[in-house]
Amino acid sequence: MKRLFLVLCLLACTCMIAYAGNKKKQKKADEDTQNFRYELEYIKSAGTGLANVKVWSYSKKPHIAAEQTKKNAIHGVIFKGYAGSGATQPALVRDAAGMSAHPEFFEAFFAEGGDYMRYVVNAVGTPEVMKVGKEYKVSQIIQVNTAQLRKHLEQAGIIRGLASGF
Amino acid sequence: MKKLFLISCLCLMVSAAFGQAKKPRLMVVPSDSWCYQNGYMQQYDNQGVIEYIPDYKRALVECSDLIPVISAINGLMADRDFPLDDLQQTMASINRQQTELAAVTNKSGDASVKSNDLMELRQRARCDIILELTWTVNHIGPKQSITYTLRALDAYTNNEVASAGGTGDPSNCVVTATLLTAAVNAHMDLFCTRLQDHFDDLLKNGRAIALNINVFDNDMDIDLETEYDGYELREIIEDWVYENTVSGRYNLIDDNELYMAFDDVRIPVYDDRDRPIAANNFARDLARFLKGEPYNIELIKVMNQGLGQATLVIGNK
Repeated sequence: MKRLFLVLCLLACTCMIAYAGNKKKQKKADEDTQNFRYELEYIKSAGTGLANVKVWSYSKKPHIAAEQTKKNAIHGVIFKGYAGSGATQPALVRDAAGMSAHPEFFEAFFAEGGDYMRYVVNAVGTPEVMKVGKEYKVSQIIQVNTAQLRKHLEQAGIIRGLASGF
Repeated sequence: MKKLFLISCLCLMVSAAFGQAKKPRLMVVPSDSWCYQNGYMQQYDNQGVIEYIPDYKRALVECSDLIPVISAINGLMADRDFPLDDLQQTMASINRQQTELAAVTNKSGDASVKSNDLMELRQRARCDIILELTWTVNHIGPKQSITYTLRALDAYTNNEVASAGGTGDPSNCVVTATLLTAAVNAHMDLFCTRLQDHFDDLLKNGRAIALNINVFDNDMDIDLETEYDGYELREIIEDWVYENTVSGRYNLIDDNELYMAFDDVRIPVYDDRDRPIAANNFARDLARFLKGEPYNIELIKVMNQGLGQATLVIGNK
């Protein structure tokens, strides 16, 4: 009985340590997103208002880097802009203040389970994983609903619409 | 109390309606060079000189690629709450108006509605910003690709206010309209970003208009070199334009005793009563100024040529 209790305690501790480790790595991945530590390349239009972009993310855990590609894709479309395949698209938010101009809105938007996921249509294909030094570099093609994302930001008053002012 | 609330609501609605700048009208048309290369040009004799004008009506009927791509661009702009004037509908409306007008006679049937060249010219497809589309189909072995350019041109100042274009990926698809629509989808965001920059500039620095001053043959011997208090009329007009533009911004292209041509005249978007103003309002204010003391030029014709262009003809009506 005592031994069973000890095993259970050990198991719980291991789970907690693993959870805390993942949480720390996720926090680091989020910091990398804020610091624009990811790459973004336009692949092709996937139809009206949809764009396929390839994202490279970094983390010590490949599954965290793979998951972070979705957040980075949306972050990149909003703040970084993208180029590739002969097309160029400036960032949706072109204000130099960027995220700091609306910190509350973007904190909620990019939180776990935040609104950003509404604009990730899907992840195309399987992620490519590369070991670079002590961490993994994971690339994934993400289909982004850029038209709806822009509308969301317009409605929230973050960016101005084409017809605003008329 | 209820009445006060209703009045307040009404006031708010009126101020909101007046607070809107006049929205430019945009229309997608095939470019002149595309029309020429594909044989969609009309010839006409302009006092002995053969001139070409694009025949949009025939292009819409005969080129099956044109309507899908215009619809695609119209759809993308409508998604951004900026619906465009449709070329096909505008052409149909002009046709219908001309047919109806030609059929109108008086009761005895011996007089019809008067029309003139200017009126017919004005009834052609007109808009404030022309979205000019050009494309070519490239053949690479069994594959095809599209090279296209979409340019937004200010119809009055001829400035290019936005553009986007490029060559799509080679594809086995042989339907030009499909390739063209895909190419438009890929580049439309950049195009709209540039167009937005133009609108932002317009709202901040004023609307850029073209203003022409002409002189009629007149009995009063007035021309633009007529002097008032030692200043020629053209100097007086230029001073007025300077004082009434946003930050005194304008460009006098050319002037002589019979003619002044201004472009990039930055007029305010709203007047002092917060009403949106266009080129003809600005030209009317100038006409009023010239009709007043000490110039007293009574006969001035103001020709409204759209949101961004006006002509003032001095010396007659």
